[in-house]
Amino acid sequence: MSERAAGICAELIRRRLIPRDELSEIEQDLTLRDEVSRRLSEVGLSLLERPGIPFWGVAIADVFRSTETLNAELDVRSLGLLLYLWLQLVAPYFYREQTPPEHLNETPLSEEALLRELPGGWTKSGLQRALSPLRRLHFVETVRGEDAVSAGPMLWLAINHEALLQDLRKDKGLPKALERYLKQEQDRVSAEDA
Amino acid sequence: MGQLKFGFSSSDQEPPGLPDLSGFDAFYNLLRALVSVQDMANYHERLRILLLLARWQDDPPDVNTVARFIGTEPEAIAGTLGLLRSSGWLVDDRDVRRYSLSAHGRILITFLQFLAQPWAEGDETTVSAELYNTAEKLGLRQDLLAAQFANVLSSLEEHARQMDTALTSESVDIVSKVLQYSRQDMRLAHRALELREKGATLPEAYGQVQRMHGLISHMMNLAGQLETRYKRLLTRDLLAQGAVTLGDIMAWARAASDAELAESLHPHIHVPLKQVWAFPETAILDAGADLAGRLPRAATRTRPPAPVAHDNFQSMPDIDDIKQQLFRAQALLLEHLHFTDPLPLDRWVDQAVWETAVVHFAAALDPELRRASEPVYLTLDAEGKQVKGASAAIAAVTQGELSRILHHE
Repeated sequence: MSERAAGICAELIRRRLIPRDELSEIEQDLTLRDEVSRRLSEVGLSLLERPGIPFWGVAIADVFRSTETLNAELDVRSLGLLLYLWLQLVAPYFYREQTPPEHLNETPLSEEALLRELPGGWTKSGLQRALSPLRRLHFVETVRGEDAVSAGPMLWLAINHEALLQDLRKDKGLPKALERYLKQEQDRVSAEDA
Repeated sequence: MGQLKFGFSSSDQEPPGLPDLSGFDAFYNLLRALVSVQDMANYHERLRILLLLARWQDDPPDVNTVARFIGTEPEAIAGTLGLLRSSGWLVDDRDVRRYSLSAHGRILITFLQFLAQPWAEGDETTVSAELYNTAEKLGLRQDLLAAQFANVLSSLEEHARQMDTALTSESVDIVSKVLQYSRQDMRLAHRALELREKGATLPEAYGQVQRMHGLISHMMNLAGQLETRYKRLLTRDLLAQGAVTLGDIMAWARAASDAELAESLHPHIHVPLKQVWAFPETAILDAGADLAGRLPRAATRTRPPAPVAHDNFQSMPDIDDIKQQLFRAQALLLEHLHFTDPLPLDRWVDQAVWETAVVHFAAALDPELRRASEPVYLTLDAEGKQVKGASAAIAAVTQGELSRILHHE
C-alpha cells in the first residue's frame, strides 16, 4: 500500500495533472486515497479534486501559500487575466449552479474578443506573454488551429469557485448592482415626473 | 399625506341649481383666440408670447423685442400679436406699438401655468405651495400669503416627523417612498421659502422664515440618514434575492486594474507546482545538427515548426513525446539563429508556435533571462558555436554553462 501510494505521489508531482481514469484505484480505494493525500500534505502539497472534473491535480498546500510563491509563477498581469478568463469560461457554470461541461474546454474564447473586451492597455503580444504561463500551468489551453483559448483543467481544479464567486458578488458585484438598481429607479421616477 | 378631493358626492348633498355664468363671458374671446389655431405650432407660439409677457419686468416690449425673445422674425408674429390684442389678451400703446397683458389675460395665463404643472394624485401641500406662488404672482394680500405659508410649514413639519419614523423601518419600500417624498418636500420648502422671503413684509414673517430654515436643515439631516438606511436595506435585499448578476461582476472586472483583479483572485487560488523540464542539453545540439544535415536551408527556414504545445489535455500525450517535440522546436530555433540576424526575444515570443521553445530555451540558459525587463538579443558567434547576448545576464550565462557545453561538443 505504502509503496503504491508513494508511486502515485511521485507521478502526481511529475505530471501535476493525471486523468482520473488513469488513477481509478484511488477512486475506489479510499484508504489509498487518504494515504496519498496524507503523504502529499506532509511535504506541503495538497491533492486537488473536484466532482465532475476528470483530473487529479496537485498544488502547494494552502497553509504554505504566499504572495511570493504565487507571483513566482504568475505575475499580476497574468493573475488579472486569469480571473477575467475564469469569469468568462468557468464562473457561469457555478453562477447557474450547473455541473461542469463534459469537455471542460468546450467554450473557447477568441483572442480577438479578449483584446476587445479586456480593460485597457492590452496588446496582442502582451496578451500572448500573459497567456504563456497560464498555458504552461494548464489554466488555459490553445484551441488548435484558432487564435482562441479555452479553460484548462487547472482553471477548474485550482480555484475555490464558490468562495471566489461569493466574495465577488458581495464586494464587487453588489456595488454595481446597487448602482444599476438606483439608476433604474431614477429613470422610473424621471419618467413618472415627465 | 392628505388627498386632494374635488367635486361633490351625490350621497352627501343635493346637486346645486343652475350655475351662475356671470363673468365667464369675458373669457370667451380669450379662450377662442388661444385655441383657434391651425396646428400645435401656432398654439405654442401664442402661449410663448403670453408667457413671455407674463414674466416681463421692464417697460412693455415692442414687436421686434418680442420676436427676438420668441426666436422668430417680427413679420411672422405681427399677425398673432394683432389677434391677441383684438381678442383682449393684450393691450398696446397705439403710438409706439408696445405690448403688455390685459388684466384678464394676466390672471388667465397665470392660472393656466398653474394648471400645466405635472400634477399627480395626492399632495395638497404641493398644490398649496403652488397656489401660494400663483397668488404671489398676482399680488394678493400679504396676510393671506402668510397664512398659506404657515400651512405649508406645518405640513412639512408633519412630513419631517414621518421621515423620522421611517428611519426605524425595516421595509425598503417604505423608506424608499418617504425618501422620495422628502426630496419633493425639500424642493417645496426651498420654493416656499424663496417666495416668502421675497414677499415678506409682515413682522411675523421673520419667525416663519426662521422655522422654515430650521426645518430645511432638519429635513436635510433626516434625508441623509434615510438615504444611508435605504442603501443598507436595499443592499440586504439585493443580496438576499440573488439580484447580483454575473454581468454586475463582469462590469466591475472590465473597469478593474490588473492589481485589483489579481488581489480578488489571490485568496482563492491554489498555487500550482512549477513545471520542471529535465532533459540533457546535448540533445538540443544533436537535434540541431540532425536537422541541419537533413534539411535544405531554404526549406528549413520556411517549414512550419513542429507543434510544441499539446493543446488537448483530454488526450494528454506521454511526457517523452512532449520532450521530443520540444527538442525539435528548440533545434529549429538554434538553426534559425544560425541564419538570421539577431531578433529580440519578445518578438520570438510573439510567435505563438515558438513560444514554448523560446521560453524553455531561455530557461535552459538561465532563469534570469525570464526576468529581464528589456528585449534580450541572442546571437551566435561567427563559428556558430557560442550564444551571445547584449545584456550582462546573457553574457554571464554564455560565459558559463552553455558555452562550456557548446565548446565541449
